[in-house]
Order: sequence, then C-alpha cells, then structure tokens
Amino acid sequence: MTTSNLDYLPALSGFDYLAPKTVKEACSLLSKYEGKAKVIAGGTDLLVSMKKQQISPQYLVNIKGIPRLEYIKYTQKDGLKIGALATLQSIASSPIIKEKFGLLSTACNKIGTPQVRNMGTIGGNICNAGPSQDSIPALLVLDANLKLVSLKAERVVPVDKFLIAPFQTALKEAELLTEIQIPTPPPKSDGCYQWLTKITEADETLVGVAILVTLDTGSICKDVKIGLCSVAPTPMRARKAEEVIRGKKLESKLIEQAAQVAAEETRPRSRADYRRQMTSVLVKRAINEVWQKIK
Amino acid sequence: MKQFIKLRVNGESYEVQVEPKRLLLDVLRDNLGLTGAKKACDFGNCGSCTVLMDGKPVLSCLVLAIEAQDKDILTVEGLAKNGQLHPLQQAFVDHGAIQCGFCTPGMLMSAKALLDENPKPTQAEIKEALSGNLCRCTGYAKIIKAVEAAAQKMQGVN
Amino acid sequence: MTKYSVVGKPVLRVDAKSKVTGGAKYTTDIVLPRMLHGKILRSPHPHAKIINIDTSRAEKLPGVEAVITGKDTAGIRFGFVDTPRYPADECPLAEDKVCYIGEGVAAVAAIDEDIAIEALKLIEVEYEPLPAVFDPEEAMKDGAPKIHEVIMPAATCAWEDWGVPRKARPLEIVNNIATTFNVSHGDVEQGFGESDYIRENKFFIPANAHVCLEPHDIVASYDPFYQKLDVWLGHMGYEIKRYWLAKTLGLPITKVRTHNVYVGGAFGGKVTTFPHEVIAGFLSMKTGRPVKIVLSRHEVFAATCSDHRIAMEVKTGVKRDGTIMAQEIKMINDCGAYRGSSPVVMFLSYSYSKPIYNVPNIKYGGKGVYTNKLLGNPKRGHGLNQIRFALDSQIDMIANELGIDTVEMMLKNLYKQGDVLPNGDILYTYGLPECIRKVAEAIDWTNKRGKHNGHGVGIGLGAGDSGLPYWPFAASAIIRLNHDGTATLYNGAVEFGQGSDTILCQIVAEELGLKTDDVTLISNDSELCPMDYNNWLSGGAKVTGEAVRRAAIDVRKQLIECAAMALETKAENLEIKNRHVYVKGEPEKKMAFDEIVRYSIQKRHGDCIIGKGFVKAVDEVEFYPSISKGTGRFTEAYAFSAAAAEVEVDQETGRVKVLKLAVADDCGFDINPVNVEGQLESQAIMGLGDTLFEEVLIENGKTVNPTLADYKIPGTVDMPELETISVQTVDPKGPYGAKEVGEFARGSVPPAIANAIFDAIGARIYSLPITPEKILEALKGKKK
Repeated sequence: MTTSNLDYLPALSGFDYLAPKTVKEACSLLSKYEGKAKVIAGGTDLLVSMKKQQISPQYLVNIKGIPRLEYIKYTQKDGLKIGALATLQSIASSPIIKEKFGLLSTACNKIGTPQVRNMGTIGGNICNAGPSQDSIPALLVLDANLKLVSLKAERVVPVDKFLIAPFQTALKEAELLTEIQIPTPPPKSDGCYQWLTKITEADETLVGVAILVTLDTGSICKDVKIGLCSVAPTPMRARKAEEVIRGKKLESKLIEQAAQVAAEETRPRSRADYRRQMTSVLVKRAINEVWQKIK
Repeated sequence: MKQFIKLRVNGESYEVQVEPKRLLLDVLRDNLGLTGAKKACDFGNCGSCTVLMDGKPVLSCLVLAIEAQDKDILTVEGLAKNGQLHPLQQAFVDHGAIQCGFCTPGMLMSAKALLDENPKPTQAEIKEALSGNLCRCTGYAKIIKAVEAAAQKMQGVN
Repeated sequence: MTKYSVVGKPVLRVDAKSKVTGGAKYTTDIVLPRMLHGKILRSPHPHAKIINIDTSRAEKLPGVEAVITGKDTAGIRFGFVDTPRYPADECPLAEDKVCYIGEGVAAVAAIDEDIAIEALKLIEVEYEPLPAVFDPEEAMKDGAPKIHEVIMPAATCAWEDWGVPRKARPLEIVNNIATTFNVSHGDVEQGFGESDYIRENKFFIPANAHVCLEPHDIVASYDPFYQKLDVWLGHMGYEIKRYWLAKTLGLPITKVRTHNVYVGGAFGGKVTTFPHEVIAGFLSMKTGRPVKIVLSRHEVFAATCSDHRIAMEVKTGVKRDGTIMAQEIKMINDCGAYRGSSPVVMFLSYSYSKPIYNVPNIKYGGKGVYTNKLLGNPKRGHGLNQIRFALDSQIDMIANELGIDTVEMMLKNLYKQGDVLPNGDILYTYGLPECIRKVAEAIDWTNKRGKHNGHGVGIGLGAGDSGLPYWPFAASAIIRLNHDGTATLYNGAVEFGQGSDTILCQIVAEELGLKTDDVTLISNDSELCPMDYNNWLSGGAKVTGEAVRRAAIDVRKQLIECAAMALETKAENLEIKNRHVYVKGEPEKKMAFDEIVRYSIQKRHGDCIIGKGFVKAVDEVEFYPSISKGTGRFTEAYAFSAAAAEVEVDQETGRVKVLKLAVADDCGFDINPVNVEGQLESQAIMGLGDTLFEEVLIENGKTVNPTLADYKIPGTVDMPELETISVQTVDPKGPYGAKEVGEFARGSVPPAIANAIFDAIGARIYSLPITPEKILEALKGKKK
C-alpha cells in the first residue's frame, strides 16, 4: 500500500503563534520549545517551506514585534550596524549604505521582488542561508560579523563561519540573530555586485559575484575579496582567486587569470558548466568595474 | 485553536475568529468577502495577492492574518472613495490597461505604493516597482502608460 | 474610417470598472450556500496498474461528504477530439491504470479544503508500476510499453451527436501512434528535382504552459429535485463545456447551465473538458451540494495540459532566385498520455500556414505519439507557433545562403489577394505584404541587417483563420429594446480578457445610434443566451460580431418600419441617431426609441421590438474539414501578421536582450483600436517568453518546474520597446471588415527573434527556448 505524496497541494499544518516583545522573551520561548519552534520575521521563505510541507513547526515565534531591532546606524569608527529586522528594502534604499557600502545596497535590491523586499528582513535572509541568496556574498567581502544572542550569552560570529550547509547555519536552537556588524572598509576601497539570473530578469540568481578591492599606491591591489553565491552549496569566498591578485598591480591578464581560478573554485550542482564559465566572466567584469571606479 | 483577531482593512475594523495558520489573503477573501486580491499561485511568485500593509506592498498569501493585526491594510476595494475611482484606477480604465483583470488588483496596489512614495517615477522605476506583478494578458505596455498618466494626474500636471 | 461613430473608436472597455474596483467575479470568487470543496488524489507514477484503492479511512473522516474513485466514474469518456476515427480517450479518474504523473485516481468532497486534503492523505492506493516511456521515438518502437491498447468508443461519438452519420469504431493503437495527418499537393519529388538548392533541417519545440493567472476552477451545483446542473467555470465556450458535462454526467444538455463569470485568462488552455470539471459535477450529483474545485498552480502546470511538443523535419527546395519549389515536412507530436488536441494541432499547423507561402508542391506528414507525460491542448495559435519557428528560420537560412535578402525572399513567395487555396478558401483580403514591409521599416531593416556584430534584426510571419466550421458552427444573438430606448444584447460570448464584451456592445451601439453605455450585455449564460459559436474557434470578432451586427440591423429595420408608419413617410427617408429616428433633412420630425416602442405596443400589435441575428462560421460548409487529410473549406477570412525583432547578444554570457519588437497584423478592421493594440502587445510579450524563457521541463515523467518561481514568464523588466501596427484591409466577409486578431501574431515572434539572433552572431539555434547555453554552444560550433 502506498499513500500518495501530495506535493502538488500547498497546505499549512496547524501551529501555535507566539509574539514575544523582547529578545529575552523570544530566546526563552525558543529554548522552551527547542526543536519544535521556528522564528518568523518576513515569512517569505518560512511560509513557502511550510506550505510545501518541508517543515512543520508546532510553534511560530514572531519577532517583528520586538522593538529596536530594525535600524541602520553608521559611524566612521564603529562601521555599519544593521538590526536584524531591517527590511531588505530599507537596506537597498538607505542613503548611507548606498554611499559607503554600495554593493550591499545593490545586492539587497536584487533580492526577490518589491513585495518580498518590503516583507523580508536581512536577518531572515541570512538565517535562511540558501545557496543563491544575494546578500551573503556582499556580507562576505565586507567581512561582516553577526551578533547572536541567547538567554545566557552573546557571541559574534563572522558570516563565513555562520554558513555551514545549504539552509543550515551555526545558529543554535535558542539563539537569535540580532545585529549585523560591518566594519568601515579601508580607504581607497570600492566594491560592486554583479549577477546573472536563471531565466528572466526578475528571477533567482544563477551566479552572483561581490567584489571589494582596496588599492595601495598606483594600481597595486592591496587587498581583494571575491564573494560568490549560487555556485556552491553555500555562498563562498574565492580565496585562491584572491591570492592571484592580492599585492599585485591590477591589469587585464591578471584579472582574467583570477577570474579563471575563481571559476575553478566553484562547486555548482545544476547547469554546472555554464555556472563555472559565468563565474569567470562575472568575476572578470566585476573586478574591472571596481577598478574603473577607484581609478 | 481559533483566536479572535482584529483587522483594520480599508479604514474599517473587523473582528474574525481564525486559526493562527490562516493567511491574510484567505481571511480577506473568505471571511471579509473582499475578493479583489486573488490567489493565483499561493507561493508569492505572481503578485496577484498584493495588498498594502502600513503603506507597503506585501504578498498577502505569505502574511498570516494574525500578523496583520494592528496594521492598516489597504485592498483594491479601498481605493475608490464615494463612488469615485482613484486616479490610478481611472488611468487603467482610460489606457486599456486591463484585459482579463485577474492581475489588476495586485498591479493597482503595487502602483499605489510606488506613487505614494515616489510621485514622479521614471518609466524604469515603474517597471521595477511592478516587477513582482505578473500579467499574462496585456504585455504590460498599457499598464506602464497608465501608471505614468496617473502620476502626472496626481501631480496636477495635465 | 470616420464613417462609423462607435466601431473603429477606442471605446473604453465595458468591464473595466468592475475589474479595477475588485468587484469583477471569477469562478474562484463564487461561494454558494452549503458549498463543499473538492480535492483530487493524483498518481505519483508515470505508468502503473491500480491494484487497489482503499478509501474507507477517508470516508470516515468527519467533514468528508463523498469519496470517489475510477470505479465510480468507470466508462465515462471525453476528450478534445471525439470522432468516428478518433474516439475520446480521457476519463475523469483512472480506471485500470494511470498513464502520467498527476493523473487523478480518487477525489474527495469535504466541508473545507483542509479536511479534503487530510482525507486525501487517508486514501491508500496500491500501484504496480509499469515500464514507462517518455521519448516518442522510443515509444514507436516494437516492444515499447503500450500506453493504450484499444480505445473503445462510447455509444455515440461527438461528431455523430453533431450530425455526422458515421459510427465511431474501436481504435487499435499500434506502436503508441495516437493520430496521423497527411496532406499533399503537387509532386514534391518533381519540385525538388526542379530546385537549384535544397535545405534540410530539424527543429524542436518543447511543451510550454499557458500560465493563465486564474487557475483552472469550477463550481458545480446539482439540484436533485429538478435534475439540473449549474456550473461556474473558467472556459472559452459554453456549448462545448455543456456538451461534455451533459454527456459525461448523463444529463440532457438543456439541464446544464453555465453561468456568467469573468475568466482570468484562457489562451486556448480552457477549451477542453478537464477531469476536475467532470469530477466536480459528479461529486455534486452524489452529495446534492455545490462542489468547488480550484486547482493549485502545481496542478495547473502538471495535470491540466500544455502546448504541444513537436519535433519537425523540414526539407525545402528553392530556385536560385529564392522561389520555393517544394517543401516536405515531417512532424512528430509527442502528445503525452492522452490524445488531447494532437490531430488538430498537426492539421492546423498546415492550415494556418498555408496562406503564407505559395508553395506549389507540398508533402506534409505528422504522427501524434503517446508517451507517459502530460497531454497537449491548444495554446494561442494552436500549432502555428511551432511551425513558424521552423519554416521562417529555414527561409532565413536559405536566403542568407543564397545571398538574398530575407524580406525580399518572403515577399517573393507569398500568395496574392484573390488567390484561391487548394482547399477552396479564397483570400479576399491579404495584408501580409504590407505587414512585412511595415515591420521591416519599424525595425530599420535596411540599416540594421547584416552587421553580424552582436546586434541583429530578424523577421517572422504568422496567419490564421477567422472562424472555422466546427460545432456549434454558427453564432446567434438576440437584442431587445428597453422601455427607455436602450438596448439589451443576449449573446453567448465569454469575456476572458480579449475584449469581447466591449466590441459586441460597440457593434450594437453603432447600428442603433446608441452609446456603448446604452447597451446592456447579457452574455456567457447558456440559459439566457441563444446557441452560440463562443470564443475558442477564432471567430469572436468575425463570426459572433457579425451575428450581433445582424441582430442589431434587424432591430434597426423594425424601428425604422415602425417610425415610418408613425411619421407617415417611407423607410428610405429615415435615419437613426442618438436614440432617435429622424426624417432626413427635417430634424424636428423625429421619434425617440421609447416613443417608437410605445407606438409599436399600443398603436400596433404589442410588439416590444426584439431583433435576432445569426451567421455561420463558413457559409457554404456543413461540417469540419478532414483533420487527417487537410481537405475541405476551412474559413472565410485569414488574418495575417509579421513580427520584426532587434536583438543584442552578449557573446560571453549568451544572454539575449531583445531591444525592440514590432508586430503588424492584418485583422481587417479594428473594431476597437485599443483592443487590437492590446492583443498585439500581448502576443509580442508572449512570443518573447516562448522564444527565450518558457519550457515545461519533464524528467522521467515528472514536471520539474511546476511553479511560477521555476517556470518564468516575461515580467515588466523583460519588456523590449514595442511597436504595434494594425493593417486594415476591410475584409468583405467580416463585420465592418473585421477578421481575427488575438491569436496568430504570437507565432510570428519566435522566428523573428531567432532570425535576429542569427543576424547578430551568425549562429543558428534549432530548438526553443533559445537559452544562453544554447547560444554559447552554437558559437562554439561556429568557431570549429
């Protein structure tokens, strides 16, 4: 006897709904219902997974009612601090982020559609940890850190240590991501985010490339960071490719070489050949774009 | 377990008894009889369910009704006032921007959110604002024209 | 065209206000008292015997009112095609076996959707998987799994019910061949012999989806006391839906009423009868309560129908100067688990394209092959899309190789106005040359063609009928005058976005000197409206429009006769304007319509003035042409289109950016110019999707992209610059000269884009959609 699979019918299983008013309360609930609860913020990823019956939490903990978790603050000294509940739209349109961390604004503006950007939060985007999420490569090259809070402790984890596997993060059960911390990039730095979509223009990212270049005197590349999404199980830094350029004088052949190395570092699953090829093309184009901007 | 929740929709207060899992789209359509917002995909991919929540366009098929408490919700039924069409609605009518009409409510809400925030959008900005609303009938051209016309009308330009 | 006051004008849509205010009702919005919700349990196997289905646990679930399986619906058959040669092969729920992933095996009606879904989970089905076949070439081999063995006809087939005195025969299926189509004129061997240059190519067009925004849905409400079924559903014609619902559910057709609702898009994908519709009716009859079934988007993608998968081999022989001498086309239509519209799509591929190139020697053969996949049905153009991509790509190749300009070669080979086609159809109007010239000009052909620098332009052509002689064969309309002199029109047209409601009101207003606001439309209700042609046979403007025009003329004649009597003058001396009848040249001598009606009722015989009109789709034809042999009159008027595209290709990424699409259409006369623009813009964007984005991906029988996240249709940010051009040839057969518009421009777009890509990069892609990977592959191949 086989009971058929109903993957063609969206349906939500029942759950209890909790709406804590403080971070402490939220952590306490997550601890109490460990293994049975999920945090809901924007809901655009979570409810989709739940409708597909991929997950069926018994408790939904809505953290949007927690005040003072939605902010964008910048000082030269402390850098950029973004509250986890800041919507993707607010980051995309923030004047300070556009000015000083432009690639993050570009990346967040790419995510989803206007509706999704108004509903979705940066915290939700990071914790969902999908392989093709545009915000992550930008956060990787910006050396972002994540503040994670639990009942007992607070810890700060760099983004690249936070992503473990597709849709799997280092977030503990009763922990909440509360803040994203991004240091001010060094002087003579600039970056960009370039991408190709899967099919149409407003579509999931097929290959996403974030670049941050810091120049020394002349065209010597003091530092370069290359962040990629959608070409490996998790978004990644193309560290070998970075080594090719770091410390050297920027010029076309070198950039092409680095782009090629970046492509070889990828581990794409579907449309693999095309993704690898496009990684090379986009890394080349993106580094060139940044180089032209800084010149 | 059903709960009583209060919703403020188009300026009116409603009290409904719903399970936490009920989505705003279904409550609007089934409990409140506001069938303007449409369910065309149920996964947030088409924009037909778009309503405004505190002025921002959201996909009501991915918003729990219970989350929508204490928010101002605007649906297409709330655009016209005293039998007078909103300039956006009139512009859609005047410019032939409607064919089957299934995407129209969602389009109007996304367009309203745009014009409320950016009264003088460029054509590219209009296309971007409507990029989450799919239409299979019109090819979009007259929808874009209608939004441009409505923006001008609302600015007082003729 | 200033001789008309209402037609030919950009009158505002009569349904616009209800659609912008959220008041417009679609089937998804219909709620009836005590309504139940239906859900369907679907097969996870592409091919399997059903050993046993245990519904006992589902039946016991509180809130479940009925559970049915193929045992309950055994013997019920329906299909898009049901002829003596091809008896209907579809059933509402699988009986002995399932033939594709998604085929329904059981259905539940419950008090709410959640309970219905819970009930499905409690139904236990034991399957014995059978070997499945997914490739049509494999399916035709000896020893391949047999999907159908013998298709047994019902007591009568549809054609018999519609008056063809031929009994249906059992159809034995050999090598999974579902249908065949063969037509030829002249002698292709001789034609090839006389050719200076011959080209042979293979093309492949995959299945793609309609993606109507409103999912397929139905509310069926059976009254056991009057034995009457009321339905609300998304459709394109109530006659065909009533016919099948009546037949499958064992009711007289007059006891099946389809109610008026708006339809959220159709594009051909809502014509045929679907299993869930028969199931809803069946469940309603079983429970005595209304049953609503709304399919999920996944079900729409994977379990309704798609456009047809066609593999085509085209061999064309030409003279050195580009004159086409002979053409041989072989088609394999991978029709999926059921026949769908397979024989029709192959016939129409030929018939729609016939009036384009005047090829003296043609041999055209096609086979429809069963595979364990989703079946195919009409999609906007129904066969034109696939063949135009192939034929116009090849014409472009030949022209390039012979050093001839493609536009010149196309123009050289066209028919001419007045020509008679091999089947007897006369080309009374033929705006195709003008369509071609106008789009070539719009795309700046002479300056942009032949640069080969990543930037290119291309052209494609389309054509199709304006109504064919298929049941119900004719349209009819009734118009009554109201007390205040306004008019009410009764006609069976269904409004699914194409603007039918509006143009019909325009026509009545034109003939009666009214404004469109003065016309009340009662449409799309099978009980209130007379027998009708409906809107799936490309005749909404030319056939239905003409019936409405004749009804209005009948009313006008009665008004004038009556006024002539009252004003004591001759009918020739009278004219109509602004709801009045005037004596020409004496504007004070007039009568308002309401006065005339009163006169007619009180001073004459009580006639409140009712008009009627009717017209056949094809006057001299009694029945449909032969779909297997392509002989017989087809239509009174062909519409024509041409599309030109300008593209830019990024040769590193393979991405194609369509900079501009120009579409020209000869639809005879624009009853509503804004409507016509809307149809052309619509088809331009749909064609863009066909060419670059859309494909229903099926792996081992499973649809792997059944969501709007994975199957992408064009959005606002994909739009090229659009230019639409209406070429008006004023056809003598259509109302005010109108022909079809809305369906056949779509097919001209893929070849335009494909040819533009070739012009840009010198590499040819032979299958749709043209993806970046295919472009890079083609560029690599070019380098070798």
